[in-house]
Amino acid sequence: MPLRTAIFTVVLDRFGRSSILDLDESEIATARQWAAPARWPHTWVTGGVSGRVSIREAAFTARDGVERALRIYAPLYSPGPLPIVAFFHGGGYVLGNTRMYDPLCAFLAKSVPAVVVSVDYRQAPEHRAPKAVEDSIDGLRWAYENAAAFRGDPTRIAVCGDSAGGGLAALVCHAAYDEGGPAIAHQSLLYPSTDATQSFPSAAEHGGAPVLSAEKIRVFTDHYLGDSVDPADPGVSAYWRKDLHGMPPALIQTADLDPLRDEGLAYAERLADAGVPVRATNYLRTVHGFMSFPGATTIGEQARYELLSELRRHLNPTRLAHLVPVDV
Amino acid sequence: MPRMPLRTRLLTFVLDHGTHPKITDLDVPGIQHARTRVAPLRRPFTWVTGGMPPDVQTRDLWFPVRDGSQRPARAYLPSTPGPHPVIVFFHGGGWVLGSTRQYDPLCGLLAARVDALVLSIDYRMGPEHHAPQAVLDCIDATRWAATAAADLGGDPARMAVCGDSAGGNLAALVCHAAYDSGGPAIAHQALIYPATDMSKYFPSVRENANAPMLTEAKMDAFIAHYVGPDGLDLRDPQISPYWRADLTGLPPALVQTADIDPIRDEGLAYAARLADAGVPVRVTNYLGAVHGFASIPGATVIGKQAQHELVVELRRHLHPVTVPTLD
Repeated sequence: MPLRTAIFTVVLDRFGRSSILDLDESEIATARQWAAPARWPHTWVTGGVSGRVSIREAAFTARDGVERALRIYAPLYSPGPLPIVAFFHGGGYVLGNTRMYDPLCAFLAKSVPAVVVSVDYRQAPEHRAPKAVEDSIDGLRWAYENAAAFRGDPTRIAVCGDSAGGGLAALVCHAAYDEGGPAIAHQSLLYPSTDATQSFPSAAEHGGAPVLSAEKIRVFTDHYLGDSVDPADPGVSAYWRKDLHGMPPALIQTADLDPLRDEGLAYAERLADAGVPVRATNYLRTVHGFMSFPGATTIGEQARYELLSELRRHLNPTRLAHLVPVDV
Repeated sequence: MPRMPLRTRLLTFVLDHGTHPKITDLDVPGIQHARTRVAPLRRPFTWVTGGMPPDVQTRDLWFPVRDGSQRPARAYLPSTPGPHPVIVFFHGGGWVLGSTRQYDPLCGLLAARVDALVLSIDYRMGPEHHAPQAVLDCIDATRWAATAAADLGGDPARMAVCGDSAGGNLAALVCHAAYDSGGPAIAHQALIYPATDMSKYFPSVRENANAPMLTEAKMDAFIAHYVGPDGLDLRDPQISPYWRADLTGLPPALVQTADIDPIRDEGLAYAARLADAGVPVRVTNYLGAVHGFASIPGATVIGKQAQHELVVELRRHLHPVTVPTLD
């Protein structure tokens, strides 16, 4: 691990945000509100929030009639209609919020360029599985149906998410396939959670890794699934879906020092096996969550650039689109 | 110029301003002497180049070419029991400089980590031998590898080609020739910052004209030595793979480019044309990296990542594994 990553993760795990292991329900609700301020020194680690992107809040109505929030990032100087990226944040289905991902979502909005719609799905333990999945699907549907209201092009939609959000993005693709739409042009899964049974070797190999440990995964999973949901249910574990034919082209990024590494790589292999065009990249010498702290890694820019290139290639299909200079 | 890691800036400064010979200053005896210079396989050099894996054996061989003469090749044999898939490797150096020995670290790494028999080809170079002599030697070498590999514990049914820079150009052209003549079958082509267009059509040649390691002036000197006076047209598809009319049917490809490199865009554009022709392509442009990064992994921050990608892609195409199915 590079020195900067080692130092950052020690600070984060020892002195930073409180660990899920110590939180009761009311403390979880408080921890969920936290986001790093968009000023240095925080932005040295998280990346800044582009000023050339407008950020606003909107709302959608979930299938049970409850209103949920969306955070919409639109580039200021790009004429529409723009492709849409539906984004699902990470945090173990328990923590995290849309604001926390302002640096990454604003970067994608400006650079693809696209309208990024970040879905504020309901979290556990107040709302158990599969509520987060249903909200994510409903959020995507809202973006599809209301695209014109935010300069979006409903024929060019991608989904993207990290960690738990990567798992949700994969499940949204399953639902869209099963329900006959909306058409999804690309899925970007960043160190996704695809297997709540934790059956792959990296779960043990990196059980004591920084940022995300096997113990934290267990607590997150307990909060999310409760006693009633089978962790191998394909409604919560994308890996365990029987048939992956017809899924959208995928980018899967994994961290080499991450308990979730192998479930991400195995899901990529199964997608490829089902004939889905897949690009999988396992980033060496880095840990779970690296896209949220690019400045504390040596591969942060490269990984952002890969994500951007793949989104561009599938959403703005012009030949040689990857020759357009990129400022990461 | 985009940002470059400090270690890359330091090493490329030493290489560009030190005693390292530059193609723009060399006459023919100077070129011939420069070809014999190889970084020693000991510290501190191996901190930069990576060194040779201890469990890989090398063997120097000869292969026949179409004019009846013999050319040298260098074999890298893994210590594991065979049969091994075969990687035919073509070194870089602008079709003028470089040697098989100079690539001991990279070829040794491929042998050990892909678990493959690597055959590195000593093709004839300019200015003594003008284009397309290098291409013809590489085609002959690949045909030879497809039959001779079995004697070295190789499995010629699983063969890939790989090369960097000028060697990437030669690897691409070998794939064209194999397609046109109906064999040998090539399972994968790994092109590391390949030269695909001698006419300097793409914008990165101007954008990175004065980049470390490779400049536009050096490109001009290499091309002049290789093509020679009154030689082939610079867009002749015999030497510039980008300008081949039809790229359908070529092997799956990995194309790695360096962002701070005059020949970045011709690599990316060739990858785009391959993909357009229906060839499965994985292309990665490495940020903060300069031309030649695969030879100086220790002086980069992406060296290990790029090696990992190269090894994973070659393994994936040379060691097909079955994915366990779900019950």
